Amino acid sequence: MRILLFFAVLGLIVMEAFLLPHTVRDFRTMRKMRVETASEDGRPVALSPFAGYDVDGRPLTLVTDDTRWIVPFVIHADRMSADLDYLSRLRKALPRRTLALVGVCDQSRCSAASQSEQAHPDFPVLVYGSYAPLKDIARFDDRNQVLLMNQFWGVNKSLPRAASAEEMATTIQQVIGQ
Amino acid sequence: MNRLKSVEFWCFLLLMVNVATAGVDFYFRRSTAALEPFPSGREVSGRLGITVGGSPPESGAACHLVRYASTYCGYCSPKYSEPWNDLEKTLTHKGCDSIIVSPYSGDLPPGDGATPEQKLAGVSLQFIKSTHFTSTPITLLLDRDWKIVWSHIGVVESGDAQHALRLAGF
Repeated sequence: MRILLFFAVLGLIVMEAFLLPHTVRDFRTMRKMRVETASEDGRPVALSPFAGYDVDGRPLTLVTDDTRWIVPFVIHADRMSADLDYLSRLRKALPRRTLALVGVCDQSRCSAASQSEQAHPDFPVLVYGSYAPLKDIARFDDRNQVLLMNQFWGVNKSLPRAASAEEMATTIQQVIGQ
Repeated sequence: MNRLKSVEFWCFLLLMVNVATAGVDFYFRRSTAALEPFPSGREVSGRLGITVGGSPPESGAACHLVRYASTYCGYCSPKYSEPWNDLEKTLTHKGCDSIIVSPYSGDLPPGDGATPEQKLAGVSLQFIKSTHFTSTPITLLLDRDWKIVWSHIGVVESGDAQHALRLAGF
């Protein structure tokens, strides 16, 4: 009986000695992966060089010589008409061409809206664009924020996306001082 | 008798410790698996993007090899790309297509010229959300239905390429 118990204890100790290093290693791996995959909170310095294309792959003119500020907005497919209306009202509230508004489709379903320059002459709506800049725009959109950039796509500020276009216009005006 | 009781106690205690350790290990393994950036079987959805030629990439191939790389990334340079080039050549010969994506406009890396590549000038937000590339180079191998079969972060070595081919069934 004693010998059996001795072997039982020994077996358990051996098993523990086998499991413990595995657990420690898995814990370290998990911590490392958490750090690597954690969402980056930092604001990007710049989103350039950036190129945008419509649904047919035509390059879009996003800025002009008059542009001093750029604000991209994500147009969500599940509330597309509301988002397009929001952008139209924002454009009316901020008519000066020094500010370029850019619509970014989150799904190609909003491609109809990007048949665009006739339908939305006040702002371009892009369906495709450069990977890293679009990723940053989407990342801030997930937090209900928009990026305010200078004409060289250098990021100046992140702003909360206001519920109404008029509120958003006031916020932008306060920041750019117009 | 007392000694026997003591051994029984230690047996019980060690058994409990073992069960607890096994439980914690199981939890860590599950948590780690959930954090894997490109889990096998995950679908890359939606329209991919637009090629430099202005057309959507062809989508009917037997499998799709996607490489996120930049001309400014040292580890994407020809010096480190030989196994990648071999993998690309082998897979395109077997009816797969090769798609190159770069972080910014104008930094698409030049290919070796030996293999047809579809270079994307622009990508869709859907593609970005289903890939979440964070560094270059990253390589994905997807099946006909755009489900991830194999992924690799960093320089592809010949062993990685063989592993990819094995998983793809070639």
